Amino acid sequence: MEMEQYFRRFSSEIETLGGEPKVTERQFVEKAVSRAARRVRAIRAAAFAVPAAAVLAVLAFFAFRSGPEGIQDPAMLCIEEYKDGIRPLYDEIRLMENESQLCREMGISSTIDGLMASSDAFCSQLDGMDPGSRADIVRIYCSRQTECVASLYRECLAAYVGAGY
Amino acid sequence: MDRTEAAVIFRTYAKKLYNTALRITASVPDAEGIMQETMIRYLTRAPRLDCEQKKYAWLRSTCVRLSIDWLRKTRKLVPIDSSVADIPDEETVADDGPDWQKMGADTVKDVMSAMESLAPGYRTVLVLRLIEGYEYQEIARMMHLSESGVRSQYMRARRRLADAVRKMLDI
Repeated sequence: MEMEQYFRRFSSEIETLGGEPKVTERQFVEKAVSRAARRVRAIRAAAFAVPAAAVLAVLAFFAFRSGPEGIQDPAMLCIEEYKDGIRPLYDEIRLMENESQLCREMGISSTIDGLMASSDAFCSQLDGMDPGSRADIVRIYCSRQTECVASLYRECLAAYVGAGY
Repeated sequence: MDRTEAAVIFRTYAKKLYNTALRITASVPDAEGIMQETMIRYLTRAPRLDCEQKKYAWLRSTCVRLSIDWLRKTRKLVPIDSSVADIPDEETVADDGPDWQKMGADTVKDVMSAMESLAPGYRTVLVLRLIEGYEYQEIARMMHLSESGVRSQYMRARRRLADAVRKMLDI
């Protein structure tokens, strides 16, 4: 207990004992500005690269699964692939919402939550159709949903960048 | 990025964060890097906190986490045995060390040098508990240890510090 009291008693002496960092205010501000700019550039690049990758992933999935060894329910797997494809965008939107009040107010991640939840329901509504037709409809649905999510992402990004981040 | 905000953050918190990182890492260049990374993370990622106390709490906690991560990455944070069943309470424990009550402000520098000489795991837990004032539960969360493991490590660290101070002050 005495040791704890000692550190409490001399807390201000301990604090003043520390040294000064060598880095200057100017150096730090330049570094911070440079890092922030790099981050915005990376987010902008992802705005175009990730949706394209998501669409390609969905298309590649169908190309791969269209052979005779294809699985039983390509429609459900398409939905899963679609969700995996938009996940990076969704995560990035959540990050922007975490940092920007304006992005939070737009509530885009909640909209995407709703879209993802409705995709399962959409797929089950097609029960009874032949697998080929069902898969075709789901493929179109997933493609449009992916474009929709990409568009929402761009809106969120515009708000984020416009707010000065 | 608001340059003015970055400058204000630097002026207000750079020294405090640098010293927190330095006490944990005992490395000047790494403490500088951690201090800068902490403030950049606040400026680019954290929600804006108007209350100074909350702002400093966020910065300090991030700084401590980054410092602990650095110890882990550089393999300086050795896992400890947390299986000690009977952990004495700090209010009753005797460290067999110097008479802390009689020690004055002139001993602070030596005590801090003694603390710096301890193994990183012991040093970290002492810094977080004695200087930064964190609760065991918070330290456990930051160091990815059990609370009993932290208590055990703290008690051992305490004894090591007492020994080191006694030797350093020759008492």
